[in-house]
Amino acid sequence: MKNKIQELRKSRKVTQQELADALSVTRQTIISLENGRYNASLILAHKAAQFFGVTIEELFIFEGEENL
Amino acid sequence: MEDFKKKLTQKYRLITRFCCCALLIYFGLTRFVKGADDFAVGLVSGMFSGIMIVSIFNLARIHRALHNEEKLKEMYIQQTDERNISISKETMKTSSVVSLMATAFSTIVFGFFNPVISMTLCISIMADAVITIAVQFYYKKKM
Repeated sequence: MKNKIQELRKSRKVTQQELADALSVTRQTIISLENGRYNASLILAHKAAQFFGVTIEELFIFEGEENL
Repeated sequence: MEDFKKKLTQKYRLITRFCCCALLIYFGLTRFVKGADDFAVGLVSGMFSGIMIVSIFNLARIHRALHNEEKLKEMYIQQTDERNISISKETMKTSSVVSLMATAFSTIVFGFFNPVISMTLCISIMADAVITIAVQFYYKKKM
C-alpha cells in the first residue's frame, strides 16, 4: 500500500525521529512505512493521519485488491 | 505509560520469584539427589547458569527503566512498536513451521537407525499438534 507519509513529513520539515516519537513507534517503523515495506495498522494509520491533519484515505492509497 | 510501568513492576517481581525458585530447585537437586551422574549434574548446572544470567540481565534492564523515565519510554516504544510485534509474530510462525518440518524429517530418518529417538520425536510432534489445536481453539473463542 502506497502512502504520502514521506511527502507530508518533508513538506512539514519533520524528521523521522520526531514523527516516530509523536506516533510512539521506532524510527525503523517510519522508514519501513515510507519505503512501503510495512503496512500500518488501523490504529497507527489513524494516529499518523491525526498528526498530519488529513484523513486516512488521503494519507494511504489503497490500490485495488491488495493482499494483506 | 503508567500501565506499562505497572506491568514492568509485575514482571520484575515475577522474574525475582522465578530466580528464587530456580535457586531452590538447583540446590535441592545438587545437594539431595545422591549418585547423580556427571552428565545430569552438568546439565542442571548449565541450565541454572543460563537461566540466572538471562534473568539477572532482564532484571537489570527493568530496574534501569523503572528508575529512568527516558529509558522507560525507550523500552515502551521498543516493546509496543507494532512493526516489532509483527516481526515477532512472523518469526514465531515461520520458525515453528521450519522446526516442525525438521522434526518430521528427523523422525523419518531416525526410524531407520534408532526407533527410540524416532518415537520420541513423533510424540513431540503429536504434543506440538495438540498444543497448537488448543491454542487455536482458545483464540477462535477469544476473537
